Amino acid sequence: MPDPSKFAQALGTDSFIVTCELDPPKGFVPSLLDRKIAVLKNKVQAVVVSDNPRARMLMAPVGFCRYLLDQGLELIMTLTCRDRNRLALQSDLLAAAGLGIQNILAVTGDYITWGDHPEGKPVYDLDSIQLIWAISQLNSNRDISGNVIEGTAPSFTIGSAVALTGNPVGPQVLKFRKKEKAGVHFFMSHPVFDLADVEEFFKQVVEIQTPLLASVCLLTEEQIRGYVLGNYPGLLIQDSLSDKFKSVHSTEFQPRMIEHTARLIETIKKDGRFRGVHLMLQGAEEQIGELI
Amino acid sequence: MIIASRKPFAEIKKSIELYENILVVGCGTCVAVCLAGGKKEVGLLASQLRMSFALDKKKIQISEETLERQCDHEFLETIREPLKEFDCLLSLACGAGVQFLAETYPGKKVFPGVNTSFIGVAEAAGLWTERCRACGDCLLAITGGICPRTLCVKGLNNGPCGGMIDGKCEVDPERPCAWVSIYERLAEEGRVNQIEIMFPPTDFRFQTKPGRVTHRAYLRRYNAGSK
Ligand code: SF4
Ligand code: SF4
Repeated sequence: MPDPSKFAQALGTDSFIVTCELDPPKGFVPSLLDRKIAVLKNKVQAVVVSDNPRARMLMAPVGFCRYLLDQGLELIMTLTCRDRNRLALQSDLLAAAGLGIQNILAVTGDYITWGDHPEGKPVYDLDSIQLIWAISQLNSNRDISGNVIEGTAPSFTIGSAVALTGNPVGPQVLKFRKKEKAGVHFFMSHPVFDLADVEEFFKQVVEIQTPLLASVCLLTEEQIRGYVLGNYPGLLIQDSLSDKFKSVHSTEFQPRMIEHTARLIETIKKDGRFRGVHLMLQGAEEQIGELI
Repeated sequence: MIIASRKPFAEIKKSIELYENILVVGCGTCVAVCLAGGKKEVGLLASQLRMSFALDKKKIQISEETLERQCDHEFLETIREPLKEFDCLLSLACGAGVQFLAETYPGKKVFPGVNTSFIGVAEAAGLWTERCRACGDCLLAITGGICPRTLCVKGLNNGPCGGMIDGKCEVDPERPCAWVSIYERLAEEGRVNQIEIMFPPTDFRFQTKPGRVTHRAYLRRYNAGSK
């Protein structure tokens, strides 16, 4: 078995982990993102490469990951259930293993109508729990049909998402538990904007064995001003937050939001229940230094 | 039952305007109940077509007939004789009915007058909603009588996605998340444990098209479905 990934090793220490999401290019040339890559390289334990986020067609994560690996980054490759059936998911995982990608974030995927090909056929042949299970199977040299996979098993570190602010919380706790049983190694939450929003979840899940990173999203002006419940997948922005920022002038918006988000990250760091933060900077990756 | 809705008038008219002697064929079962293709709708559409072609000064003969079902040989046979005088059949049955009509009468030009939507229920007056995707391997025993393959837009088998907000679906904030409904129903009945273990990936062989079911008693008695 290969050594556990650097990220897996970091999960095993006491250090506070920082990861950051990076979208592959909407284009043929990965070097389009070189500036962002250079900034992130020294700031985070791992870059989380998204997989057609919000159903927007971008470069395949496995290809973009290959480029980032060459630049020496530690990677977590996202794999959604939306665009691939069980054959394609598993063969992408074999490709990932072959390239040396060791960390996978297995998620359901925003529905296809959010994206730039809304007429397309959504797949969801497996769901996120079945995908976690499939990756665990590959880790023990089997595919999900039970066939033997040749070569050294990849030792994937398997991550998935958890909606800490889900309401009602019961069904989200159920899913969280099922993911643990399916073999997940770490969790990344959906964006948290206020720790008060996660208390219901922690009432039901008193002790967390699996490392959990809180996701922090740097909201854009458009999101704050245009937010209505349900117009961004999985995003719950409380009125108290949008009220605070609605009156902020455009020129001041980003610095103020960065300040606010940096304070939130500090609170999460001190909270003790999280092994780290996962940053979703939505294009502002080069500003990461102002947040951490 | 099968829910359908009538195609736009302009589309229907365009599809049949090359013919002279047209029979509008309704179906007295599902599409009659959902007010898309029963006797009344046949009458309305036929009159609309007559008026419209008359305004265009086109001599097109439109006749009407509604069968009890178009998905059954027994009823389709009843129009074998009268059908001889028509060159075009406009069927207001569901897609299955349209095809069976076409199959029974080769040589006749057959056109659909409705869009077939889903298998559903009459939720309220004038409102029909989907309940079943005919997956061939029903899991309602586990999910408390609520179908996630139909009511969850992603067809997830193992609980809600992270997009659920305030109990509503990621895709439509007006609609309850199917997995919240399932969870709450099972919780009320003290059966949440049924969904605590991973439901394995769906076996899509049950959904291989085209579907075929042979009743065992008929197989024995009449050798039905053996061909
Ligand atoms: S599980 Fe759902 S789609 Fe399948 S047969 Fe049952 S109700 Fe229909
Ligand atoms: S919110 Fe619920 S119903 Fe909608 S896609 Fe997610 S799990 Fe399915």
